[in-house]
Amino acid sequence: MENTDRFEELLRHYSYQELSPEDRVWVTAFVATEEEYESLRNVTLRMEEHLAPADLTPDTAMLKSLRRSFDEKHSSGLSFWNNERYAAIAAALVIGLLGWWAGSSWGGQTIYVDRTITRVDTVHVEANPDTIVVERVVYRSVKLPSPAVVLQRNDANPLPAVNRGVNMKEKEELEKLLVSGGF
Amino acid sequence: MFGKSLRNRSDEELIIQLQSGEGRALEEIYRRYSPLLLRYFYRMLWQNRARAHDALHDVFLKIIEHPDSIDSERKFATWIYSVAHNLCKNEYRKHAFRQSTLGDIPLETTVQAHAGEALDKVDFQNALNKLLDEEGEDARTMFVLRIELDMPFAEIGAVLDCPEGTVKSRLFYLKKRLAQVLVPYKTILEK
Repeated sequence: MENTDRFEELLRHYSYQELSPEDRVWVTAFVATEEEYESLRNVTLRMEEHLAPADLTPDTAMLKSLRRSFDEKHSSGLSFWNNERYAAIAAALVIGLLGWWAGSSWGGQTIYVDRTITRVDTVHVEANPDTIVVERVVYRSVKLPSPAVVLQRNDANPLPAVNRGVNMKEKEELEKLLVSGGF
Repeated sequence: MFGKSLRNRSDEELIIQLQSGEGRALEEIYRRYSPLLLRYFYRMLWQNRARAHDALHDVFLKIIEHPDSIDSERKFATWIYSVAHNLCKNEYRKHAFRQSTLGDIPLETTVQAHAGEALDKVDFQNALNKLLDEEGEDARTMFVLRIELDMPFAEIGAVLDCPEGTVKSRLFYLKKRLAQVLVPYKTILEK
């Protein structure tokens, strides 16, 4: 069947009478007689015009309907990114911005400059205190000049001044007296 | 690519545009393929215009709804006729089911007040249609793709997923059979 193409070409363009003697011999591989060749040729030639009616054409309303469906499907926000033209522009803008940003932050040449920096170090030395003040209070039992009467009272009134304990001033005077050895 | 006219673009370029939402690409694909597909469906679907139009609509709707299903590894023409072929197979299954339940669906006949030669032509047409309908599904598809659409043998093989040699061989013997059966219409054929 490798030569079917050539046989079809002959059928389309030449009647049996128009075939060269060599071709007549050659076509016998496909058809036995002249009559068979001609009937096959007629079928080949006439078939197309007898197939679909000439007025069979696509409906223009169908294209409009399909276009509407297409537009509805692509009317979402994502369609912007699906459109290669817009996507290419957006990608170019993004790449440009990234390039600009990278250039401004990393792209510059680094220059080193020698610079003298004077630094004053402050050393804080903390001296240990060399004076220790110890306040010492010595209490001694002393004999009172007259026997003290201590009355225990149950009422809430404070004791009279004579029965109260000594205050600091009195204690100091008392101590001086004791140290001085008076009495 | 932007500056190139739609008509100069390849099918594959148009499909890329269509997938990215370019409506004019769809229109161009429709302009290129709808007339041939319509003829194909008319022949394959019992010479019924309404069915042929419906099938054509379905094919394009599939392209719109699932543009990513278009196999970019294959030639677009092969892909779209494969889809059309599968759609016809589905229609045959539905038809068989309807036949078993409701009875046969009559072919579309356009016989009007024909006389003489015109009547012969209608008879011939009907005889041819009947013969093709009696052939197997694949044989009919091969015949329509080759005779109606003038598709190369290799491409027909790709649509039907069979070797080119098989297509050539089957078509040749189909034509021989048709030539034998249509002998009574010799006068029509010879005109």
